[in-house]
Amino acid sequence: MTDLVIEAAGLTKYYGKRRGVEGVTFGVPEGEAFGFLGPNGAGKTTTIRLLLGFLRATGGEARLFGGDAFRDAASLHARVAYLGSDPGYLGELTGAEQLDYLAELRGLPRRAWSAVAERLELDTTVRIRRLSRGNRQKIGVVAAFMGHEPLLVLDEPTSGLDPLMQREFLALVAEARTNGRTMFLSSHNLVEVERTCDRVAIIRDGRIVDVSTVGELLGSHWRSINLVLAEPPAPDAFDLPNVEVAAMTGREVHLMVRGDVNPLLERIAGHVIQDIAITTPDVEDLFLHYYRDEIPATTAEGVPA
Amino acid sequence: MTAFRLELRRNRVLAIWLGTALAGYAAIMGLMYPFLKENDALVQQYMAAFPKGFMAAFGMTGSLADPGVLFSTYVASMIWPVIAAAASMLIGTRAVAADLDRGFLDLPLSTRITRVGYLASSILGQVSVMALLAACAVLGLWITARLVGADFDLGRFGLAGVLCFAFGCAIAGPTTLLSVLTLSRGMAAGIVGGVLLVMYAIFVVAQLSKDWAWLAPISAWNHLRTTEVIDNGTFPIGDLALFTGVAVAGWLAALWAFRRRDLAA
Repeated sequence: MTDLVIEAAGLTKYYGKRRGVEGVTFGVPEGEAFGFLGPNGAGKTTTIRLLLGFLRATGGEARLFGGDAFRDAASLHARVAYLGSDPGYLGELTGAEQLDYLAELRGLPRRAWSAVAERLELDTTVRIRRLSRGNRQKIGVVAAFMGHEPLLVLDEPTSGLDPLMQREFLALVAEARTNGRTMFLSSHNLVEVERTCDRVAIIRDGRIVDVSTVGELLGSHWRSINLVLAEPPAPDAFDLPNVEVAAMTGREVHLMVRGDVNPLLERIAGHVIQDIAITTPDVEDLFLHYYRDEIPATTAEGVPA
Repeated sequence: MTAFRLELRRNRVLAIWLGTALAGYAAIMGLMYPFLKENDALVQQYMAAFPKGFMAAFGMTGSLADPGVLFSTYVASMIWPVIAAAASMLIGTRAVAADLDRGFLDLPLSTRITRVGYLASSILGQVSVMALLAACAVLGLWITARLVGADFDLGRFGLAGVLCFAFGCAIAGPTTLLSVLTLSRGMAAGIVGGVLLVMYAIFVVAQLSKDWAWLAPISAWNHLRTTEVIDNGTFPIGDLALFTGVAVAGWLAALWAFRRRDLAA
């Protein structure tokens, strides 16, 4: 357990009678990129604020590097770089002044941020109150990546960034991972998590509903296969475990398969195929699955809705 | 040090505006001094038309030709409490309640700075602003009075400034504590404003009615005896200790409470 950089055990937080999170349990080992998925209000930010010691847990415990996240917060934060979901930068400061302030508080030299700011094309001479939302978000990303702390905690990091900057963000994440830094990334953007993380926890109504690798997450859910065959198949041609015939109209077949696709592919290989389309499960569909407790709906044409 | 430097910077605009307003007002009173002195008999006659207790409630316990009465009437009992309360409410509630609300507090607290270190730097910022404002109040009047020929004792005015400074800090300390406890700028400022209004009302009532005179000691205004400092040269150590005690107790309690405060926005 001591090898875990982040450890949440039965972490619970109530705001009076209102539920924040309940029984949240997971661990993040050194060097892992851990995604934390959930819609707004699911408890992502509450969990992060508990991990950073801003909030005191109602129950359970949160530990960073083996230390108590609340009691030892200041000493633990020497090893943490944090990007909040909606940081309230001081409008009267320029980006450079704000970043210098944060650099000094983190024991970094002034201008430690300049290289990252240049990569993100951030104009640090402008007062923050005059910056767009995207540029303010860049300040947060620059601040998070300007140091070399072993743990990165990122709450909705690409919110407001344009696609080019999102790509640059992914590059920064990749470099951080190459350098062995541990990352905790909270998001409601499934693609972002899929691209950056090794494992994902899905939080729903304040509770973790699943923790798995991204691969497992994708593999354990339905995927869609659309076939156009040379001849209409027999009605029982695709009777296999974990395979559902969603639609069969003459030579056109729409199948839904979960888990290992090899048995189905072997069965399909016995037919003359004119066209085939395998749709990797849309991460949005995965997400909806957790939130609706049902497989993705299918249209009459056999296309996932 | 980094956090303290930012505090000073954040306080700068507020301190400049409040200090300018305070010094400007005090300066105008200083410029009026020769006229008040020249027409002292007429002014006294006019003041005699009002109940003595009523005038005392506004600091007019004697002739406006006396520098202590002048300072207490126009500065210490009038504009200083307003400015000191405004500064306390704005700066004292900012460090925790307002900064939490706007999402700024997470930034310093996610670094290696301790909560106590962070709030202490804010408290030092409050002390700096209060000292600057007290200096503006005293020097605004003293300098202009000097320019128009009045020979006011700078030492005594300085001591009156110290008492005013302590009075301001006695507002700022509890305000900071309330900011930490309530995590609400509006609630903290509202409570402080309400308590000050009640205290002022008690002071006025205690001056007007002998039956209620026993209430006077619980009002902060009763202990802001700048007239005695300037006109008699006696320094009320007890009052200074009281203000200092309230201020320090408020700040220390704020630091203690903030160490373990659940920062639920």
